[in-house]
Amino acid sequence: MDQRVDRGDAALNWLARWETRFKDSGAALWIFPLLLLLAFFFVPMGSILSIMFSRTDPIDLGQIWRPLGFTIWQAGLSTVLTLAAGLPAAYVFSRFTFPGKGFMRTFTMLPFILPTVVTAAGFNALLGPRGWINLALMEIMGTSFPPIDFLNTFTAILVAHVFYNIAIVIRVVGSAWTQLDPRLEQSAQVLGASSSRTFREITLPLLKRPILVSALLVFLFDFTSFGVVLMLGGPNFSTIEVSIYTQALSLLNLRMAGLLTLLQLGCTIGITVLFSKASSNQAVPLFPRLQGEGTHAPKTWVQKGAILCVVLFLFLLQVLPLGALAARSVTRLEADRGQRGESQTGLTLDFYRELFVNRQQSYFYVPPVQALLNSLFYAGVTTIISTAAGTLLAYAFVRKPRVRHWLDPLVMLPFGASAVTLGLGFIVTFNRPPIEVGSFPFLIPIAHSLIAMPFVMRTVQPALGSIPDSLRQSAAVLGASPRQVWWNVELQIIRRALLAGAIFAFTISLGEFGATSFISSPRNPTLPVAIYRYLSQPGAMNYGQAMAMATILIIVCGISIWLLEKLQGEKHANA
Amino acid sequence: MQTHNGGQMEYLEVVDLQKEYEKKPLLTGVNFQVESGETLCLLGRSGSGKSTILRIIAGLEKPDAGAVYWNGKDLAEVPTYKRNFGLMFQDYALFPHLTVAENVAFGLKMRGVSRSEIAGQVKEVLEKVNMSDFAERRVTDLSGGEQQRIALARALAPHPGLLMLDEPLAALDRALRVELQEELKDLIKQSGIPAIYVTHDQEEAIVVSDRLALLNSGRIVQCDRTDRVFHYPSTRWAASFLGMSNFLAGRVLETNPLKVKTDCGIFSAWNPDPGHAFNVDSPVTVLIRPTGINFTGDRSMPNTLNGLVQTVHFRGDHYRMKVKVNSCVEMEFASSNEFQTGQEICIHLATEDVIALLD
Repeated sequence: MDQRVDRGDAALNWLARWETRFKDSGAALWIFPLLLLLAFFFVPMGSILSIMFSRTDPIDLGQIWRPLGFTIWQAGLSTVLTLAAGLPAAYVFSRFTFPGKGFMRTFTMLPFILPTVVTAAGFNALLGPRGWINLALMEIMGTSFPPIDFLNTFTAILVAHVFYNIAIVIRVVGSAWTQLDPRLEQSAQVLGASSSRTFREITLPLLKRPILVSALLVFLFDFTSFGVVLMLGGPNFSTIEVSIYTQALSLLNLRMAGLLTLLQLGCTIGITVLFSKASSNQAVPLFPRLQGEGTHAPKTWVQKGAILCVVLFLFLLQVLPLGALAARSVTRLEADRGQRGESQTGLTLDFYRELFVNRQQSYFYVPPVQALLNSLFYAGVTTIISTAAGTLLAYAFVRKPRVRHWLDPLVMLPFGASAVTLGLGFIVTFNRPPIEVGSFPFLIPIAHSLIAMPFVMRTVQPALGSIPDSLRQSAAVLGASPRQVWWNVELQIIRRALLAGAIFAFTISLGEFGATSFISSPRNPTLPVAIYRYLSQPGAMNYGQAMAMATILIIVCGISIWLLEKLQGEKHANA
Repeated sequence: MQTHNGGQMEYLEVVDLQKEYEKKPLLTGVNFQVESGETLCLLGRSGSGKSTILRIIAGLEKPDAGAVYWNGKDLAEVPTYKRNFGLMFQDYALFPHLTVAENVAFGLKMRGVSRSEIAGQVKEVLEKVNMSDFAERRVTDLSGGEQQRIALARALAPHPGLLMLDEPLAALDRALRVELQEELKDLIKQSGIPAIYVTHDQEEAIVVSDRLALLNSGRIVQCDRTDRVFHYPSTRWAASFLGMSNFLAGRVLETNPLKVKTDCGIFSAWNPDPGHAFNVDSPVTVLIRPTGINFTGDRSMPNTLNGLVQTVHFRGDHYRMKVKVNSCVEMEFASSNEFQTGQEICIHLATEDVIALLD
């Protein structure tokens, strides 16, 4: 009897000990995100590993070195070009005020969150065989073949990468440049340095760190580029990411796909480590200063010319393709196949109207409006999951800084591991009878959530960390219970960041292509997948509908970016 | 202005607080009491444990041992938000997402006071701190001094039983600090709320407090009426901390009345703590007070020192001089009359000018 009581006490003690341990570790905050990661990232990665060791598919080392070499080559060249184009823009944005600057700043961010299919569609609408420029040239030259061959070239990949990532250079380097104390440069000039000497000896060394940080980030994005290479580079070019896709889905060689995945994971982890090292002590050479001290209206003609060049360049690079796309979605230029009689050219809303009509009786045909609804549903679920998980993580990291050390890199992994890897992992793990990946509607938002979670966490965490303890304590002393402190103080202060994180998550999900192209079922595509499908099918009507859907995505992304900028702007105004 | 609960006496008692931080003692046996209409100032260098005492009283930290009693009731199990105390932080901790009026209203709102009542009370408190025109401003738009007033208004609005102020003026520049010291004192006095005021600034402590607790390394060295602490520091540390440096080593010659023998002669000395008994022949350090000294008389009188003026500095309302005493030690004195360098003077000490220190 006594023994039993003892044992009962021991069990209770044990439970109590674990309860305190659980509370001390803040596990209630991070257990849900961690489980999400374990079940939907580490288990799939494990499956890929086990497949590599259990399968006997043939391994062709050439199929590994060639994509690796090309991936490094194109990413390196793209990074150099992005820096070359981005640094002058960063200079102009950080040093001068000019009309339309706010709009341009916001607009440069738009491509950054734009789905790759839309980018592809944009360049297609401008420079493709049926793009504006080729149509115009054909009209002028009277030929029936498009004179400019832009799609499926290496140039197309490079241009699209600059289009995408120039915003990173402008933002990262530009903000560091704005914060540079102008007195440093003035001192150098007083000490006898010419303008160019000052730039070389003072400005450039001080900006070395932000330039490195932005270059690594651009390189990472270019390294894992998927949609751009697939859709603009065409069949002749294959990065590791694209190889994984073709090995897994077209050649069904899962062993090769697994090997490539591991290789890519190793590379991206390496880049990510370098990136976090470079960005950790970034703020060293910067000094506190008055807001806007170094920014002024252009004075000389050279300065005005520089601004004009940058604005014109950004217009050609970014505004023109998107404008071409939007214009193409409302213009009928040629007769449809299967349409009898005289076709009318001119403005039309037919492509938008057609989105709601099921004309083809094909098995794989899905009305575009269904794709839009799918996308909205997935984006909604993603927003809920990733905002909840990301916010919990932010709380865990702020309250228990030690947890951050080991959990932060784990959370960043799916982001660095690339979307295609994630999609492949889902296929090999969950696509077994009785489950069919496409039949489980929550796999897509879960994959999207893994990608969006680090963004939400990174957005919410600084806001949460900026709340001094004295604020919570003040509220408590004034009579606020812990729940009231959370509701009346913390939540109100992080509200904007939370909303920004949610918008981020929503937009990421809406445009995600890499993982979705693996796991969406043919009958239930998302909007980007549908656009891809329509683009690769012949016919003016298909082309026009792809343009219409892409335009819808641009508008949604544009609204998101505008909202994000507004939220950030208000935050700065408050600070 | 009556005391906030109709004149009934309220009091806080702190008993034997102990606290360690990272295995080092932060507080060792802190005891004191504060009651209605009284302001106690905790004066000490940074790191002496002043703020920790406030945090323990507020319930933001738990002591390792000891207790806090409010009107005789142990507060150990009462969470912060139910204690009904006010605490003003050094950085004010105003809620950046709320307006001035909303900040002041916060405590009342948490107590479930009705909206109309809150509006009236907020108006009243803002008037009291001369900030009525700022009600709808954002707190982030306020200057340091304005923020300070709002922080005080916010702490006072819910009629706390006890008001605690943690270095409330430290973030302000000197001119503003001096201006606000007296205003702050008047506001606290008017409210009748017992207050604990933490500072490292002696001048501020003199102006604001009724009683003073000198804190050194987590221990209260001396706790008494403010004027008495400044006039009769009881230990060598307290005297040094208050800027006094004229020490003489000696031995107790007689205990009643107290006489001390030093290298510079025999002095009648003052015992700052009547509860403390000196033993004949035990070693003792005496403090020669630097201010209020009589420089007239002649050398034959008892308790008199010979001095040779070394340096003289004008300090606005007095002269500060270094004097070589009895050709052996150098001491500092303040005088309203000007003496010349090299002049021989007579330093006549009253019994209260020679304080026998307790350590």
